Amino acid sequence: MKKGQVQMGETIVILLIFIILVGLGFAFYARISKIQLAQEQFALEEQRAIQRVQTITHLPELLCSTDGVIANNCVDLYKVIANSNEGGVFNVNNVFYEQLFGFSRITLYQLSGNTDPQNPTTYILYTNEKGEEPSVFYFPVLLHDSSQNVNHYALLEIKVYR
Amino acid sequence: MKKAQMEMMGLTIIVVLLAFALLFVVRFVLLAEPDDTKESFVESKLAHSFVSTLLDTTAVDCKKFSVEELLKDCREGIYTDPPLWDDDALQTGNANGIGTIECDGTTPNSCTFALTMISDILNETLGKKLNIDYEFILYSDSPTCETVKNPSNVIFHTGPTCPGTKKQVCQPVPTAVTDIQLRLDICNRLAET
Amino acid sequence: MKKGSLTIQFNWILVLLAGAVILLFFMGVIQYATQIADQKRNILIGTTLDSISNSIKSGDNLDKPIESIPNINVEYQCASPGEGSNCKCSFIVGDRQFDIDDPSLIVFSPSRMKSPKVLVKSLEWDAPFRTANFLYFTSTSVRYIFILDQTSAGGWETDVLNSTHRDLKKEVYDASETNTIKSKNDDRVKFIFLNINPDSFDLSEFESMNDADVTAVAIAGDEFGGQLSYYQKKGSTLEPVNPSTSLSYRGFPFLLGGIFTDETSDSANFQCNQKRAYETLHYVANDYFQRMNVVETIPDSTDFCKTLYATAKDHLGSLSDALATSYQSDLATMNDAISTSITILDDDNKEAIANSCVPLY
Repeated sequence: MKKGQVQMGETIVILLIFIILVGLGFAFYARISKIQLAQEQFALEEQRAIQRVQTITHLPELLCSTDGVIANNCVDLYKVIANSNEGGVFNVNNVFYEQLFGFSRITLYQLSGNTDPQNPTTYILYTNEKGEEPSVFYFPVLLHDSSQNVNHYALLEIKVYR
Repeated sequence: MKKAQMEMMGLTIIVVLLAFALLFVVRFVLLAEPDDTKESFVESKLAHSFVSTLLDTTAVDCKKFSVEELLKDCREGIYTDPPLWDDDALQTGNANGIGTIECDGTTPNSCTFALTMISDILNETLGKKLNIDYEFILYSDSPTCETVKNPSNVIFHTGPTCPGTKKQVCQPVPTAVTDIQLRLDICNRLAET
Repeated sequence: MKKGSLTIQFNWILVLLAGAVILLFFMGVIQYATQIADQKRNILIGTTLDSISNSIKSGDNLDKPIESIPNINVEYQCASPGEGSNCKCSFIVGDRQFDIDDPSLIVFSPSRMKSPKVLVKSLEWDAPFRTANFLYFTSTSVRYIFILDQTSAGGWETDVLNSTHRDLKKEVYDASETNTIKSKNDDRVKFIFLNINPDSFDLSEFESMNDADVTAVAIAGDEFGGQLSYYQKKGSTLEPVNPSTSLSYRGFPFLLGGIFTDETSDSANFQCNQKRAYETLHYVANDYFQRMNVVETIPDSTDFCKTLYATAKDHLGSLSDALATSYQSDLATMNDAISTSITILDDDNKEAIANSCVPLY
């Protein structure tokens, strides 16, 4: 082979290798970007779940109020009874509350002041489950009985499905 | 050195540099721990609201006093050198006769009632429902929650010390004698798994 | 041809090909990076809007700038998806739409805002019980000019001025001083006439601005209720957007909403938000009605309390029913129903508390 041809060949090979290396580098960068984006997307989904939870834990239809002033960390017993189980407001007015709660399950466990301490009263406030692995959140709240003026200790369980 | 050897050295250096860069990227990007938004939210909300909710809970079977009022009465009934109590003290009745509130019968028992309620609620919620380890300590005569237990200051203690990291909440309750501190340590599940 | 010249030409072709490939490659990289950046921006905006919602839910009263939104135009629009459905509102940033799905968040915003400094403020709406949170968006690129008769102004005008965003670009003029208002090369200008007729207002100072960038709202009423009329610049005068109709409002939160909303001949953002709010009130009132059903069954209630519960139940039921078809009903009728119910329920609740009955709310 003549010298010129050899040099031509060298140049072509160098260019090819350069392009392959840059291509590999770009593929690697694209993969990292995708992973980072997926992580950010996951964080956003978690934040959306937290948003649903915040909506539920600050719902005027559940919270205690005194002359219009809402008390946080406190739910009204009679609102809970009105909203619980199949005939409850949240389940009957499905479309509206579906917007608020999405695919989730909201349960309230009364853990003090029960007639039978071995069988604590459970209120199922909303159920619209999707069947996938949910994020589960627990919040201690006071269950306020305004006729007796007592506060029972209760645990609000919120399962949010993605 | 011959020219070809120099060129080979140059190529080797480039490959080594690329390998280092790749190592850094893998360590700090691909293997970076993701922010756990949900866990931080839950831990901050749970710990704080747990204690405040507990204090406002009404003891329905104790003349509708709140847990906070019962704890105050308990502490005000202990004048000096509170003993170190644990769960057994509740069983043996060492906490009876202290204070002025008679929940049932004629013996003051605000201490027993309040501490039993706290113990039961902690067990039902953190223990059974959430399956989280915790440590609860009721201190007396402390301006803040202490990191080292001083036995003469402890009125009540339940639960083992968290082996790893934890979320700690301190809630002071003023009484006519001294402030008492409720300290709840919720053991961190992430660090332990 | 000599072999040498052929080699040179071949070399050049090779160089051109290689160069083209490299250029295409980098163009691909840039396009991919742009897509990633757009997606990240959308995630950032979504996260920002979510965190605003979360702050309000936590009980924070918002009054702050949002600086994390990139420098870009933000549009806001409300539209009805179809017959029989209530309207939906959304923010549009670039090509991405962010719907406001939460019925307890009622958002008032200009139809166009320019960042980087978007302002947001929140206010709770009680009717008479806590029902929703109102959010008021605007930006520092909008200049708000309030015009009122300062000699006869009541307390409510001062409340309006004190209730606007902390960083709002606002100015206050007496009705007799309007000839001193000068153009300052703003992006947008909004005039707010508080119980002042804007019909003869002269806009010659602002003639050089685009018509769409100069708008006005005239408020005839007070903090409890009244009428809103919207205007648009046409040349050097203000012309009503809808000459035959003015919009009825009830309550201070809606009054403030009317200031920060744009209305044009083909948009109905204020009415849409009113209807969304009333739909939420319908469900909350219904919830309180169901609660009264449970409260009525409490044993050992006094006869007085039982009578009060029955009366309150009727009033709550009426309120809920009046708003049952908020997307179809006349807004003025719903406004009247709400005003009546708020007063009656407030009185009922005071009686319940004074007589040791279970409070109505």
